[in-house]
Amino acid sequence: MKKKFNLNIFSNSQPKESCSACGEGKSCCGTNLTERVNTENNAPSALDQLLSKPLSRRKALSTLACGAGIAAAAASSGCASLSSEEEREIQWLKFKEYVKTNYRLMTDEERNNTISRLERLAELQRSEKVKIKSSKAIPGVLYGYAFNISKCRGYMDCVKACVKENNLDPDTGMQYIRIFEMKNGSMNLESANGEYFHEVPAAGHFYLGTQCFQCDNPPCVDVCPVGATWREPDGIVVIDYDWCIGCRYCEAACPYWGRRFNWEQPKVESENLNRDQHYLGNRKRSKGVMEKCTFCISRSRDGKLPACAEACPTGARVFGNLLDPESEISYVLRNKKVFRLKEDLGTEPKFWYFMD
Amino acid sequence: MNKLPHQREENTMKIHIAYCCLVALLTLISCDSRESGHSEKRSSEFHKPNPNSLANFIGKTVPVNIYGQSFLIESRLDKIKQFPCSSCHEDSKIDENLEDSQFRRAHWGITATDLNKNHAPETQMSCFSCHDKTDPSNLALENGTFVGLDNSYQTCAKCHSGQVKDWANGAHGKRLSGWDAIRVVRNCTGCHNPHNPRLESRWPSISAGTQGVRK
Repeated sequence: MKKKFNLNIFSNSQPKESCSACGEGKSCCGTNLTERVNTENNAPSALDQLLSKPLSRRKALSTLACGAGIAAAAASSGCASLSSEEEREIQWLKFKEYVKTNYRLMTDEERNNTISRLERLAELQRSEKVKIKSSKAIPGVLYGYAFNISKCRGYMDCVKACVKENNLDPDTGMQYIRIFEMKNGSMNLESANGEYFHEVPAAGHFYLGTQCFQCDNPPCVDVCPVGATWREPDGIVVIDYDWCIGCRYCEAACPYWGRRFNWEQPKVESENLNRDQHYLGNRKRSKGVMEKCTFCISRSRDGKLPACAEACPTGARVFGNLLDPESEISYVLRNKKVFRLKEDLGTEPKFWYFMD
Repeated sequence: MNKLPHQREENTMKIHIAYCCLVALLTLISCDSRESGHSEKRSSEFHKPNPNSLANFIGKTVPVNIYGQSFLIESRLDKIKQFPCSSCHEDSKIDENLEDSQFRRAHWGITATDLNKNHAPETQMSCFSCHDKTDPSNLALENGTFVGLDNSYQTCAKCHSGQVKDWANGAHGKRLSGWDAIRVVRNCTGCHNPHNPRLESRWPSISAGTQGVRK
């Protein structure tokens, strides 16, 4: 039976029908050749069928216009918009940032490159001239922090300074530090109020501040599935915001709620922006990544106190090098009655509380 | 066909030794020699604070040496309103028989009554606990020597030696310079008004975050 339509799109070839005129095993003798040639040539391919369909001029023009429109949309969305030099540069920088490797595996040159790309992106996208550092840990330093719960009066000057220093969005309420108002006679943090707003200090209460404690045995580092967070040699636990996938497993693992997630894109006004930034610290973060206190890594690696310690008017915050036996923090740990939170979990936080 | 237990051949000693070696080897490989919390060797070398830096402290300082500690304190002489006393008093003696009201007029509220109400009762403290009758620009110590107003910690230490010892060592008071710098701390009077030392209550400077959602 002759087939009217075959599945071969372009070619006209079809399997040769066997002809039984010749004996089996012998070559074709040409008996039914004419008939076979006609059969082969007459079955049109799919493309032929499509192109030879009868069509009015109006319909043909509208079909061609639709096709051209779809092709133009695909082309412009697929490749980068070629409208301006600046936009092309932004696209190129973003591409390079997307394919870069983990910060820990980078050579110094690659780190410098990524920093110049980030600085350039800030300039192009938001007209902000920022200075991003990549300073390494100072050898022979292990940062420690002590908090005097006899002195804290709940002023939250530390929170305000932290928000300013770390470019935190004041509208979303992202704050690394939480100050708890605790009833005298109790150490129960679960019944404490972390969101008070009244004249302080309130009678019958004391104040205890928490933030990321930069644990020596951090559970958040162990659970990160992609290796976006790690403990630096000077004890600070850092996050590479470009590597974080936002799974929030570290937030679940931290027993102190030290790590915060960006539910929204953080926005900071240009005049409030702190332009002294560090790659692992207070540079621009995006929606969907984790962030946390880094003991103001850009300040502390420069020899300065973190913003919270500098802002506290009562001197309740003590910061320094644990390895230095003459530092203030060493004196506090040796001579004062100190405790840490959730000591039984074995996280070895580097944030101690003490009383006068 | 399975042999009954008493018919199976026992393993030779060689095989037993081989098994033991394998188990020992696996145990050795799997034991983690890293202890948690000591992920790098703590060398005895530590970073000493930079003795040439003040790390963003700007201002006049005065050296202090007390309780075995040497450090700097912020000088406050230029911040005291009515200093030096000789700018108003020719004859710089204090008349201890003056009425309270006369004190108040001259010194904007510093009277003996206020002092006893705000600092310590009259059985423990009077103006002359710290000020000397003959030299009001300086403070008097118990052995008759005088110290400048910047060294007020010496008079505070008469009663508050515990706090001053903590302050000298760093557990009390406010550090003004960075951690990797020369130690500059605030004077006692930098935080505590000596005539009314208790810190006032006030409102917090910021309200706690709403945890994530834009208002």
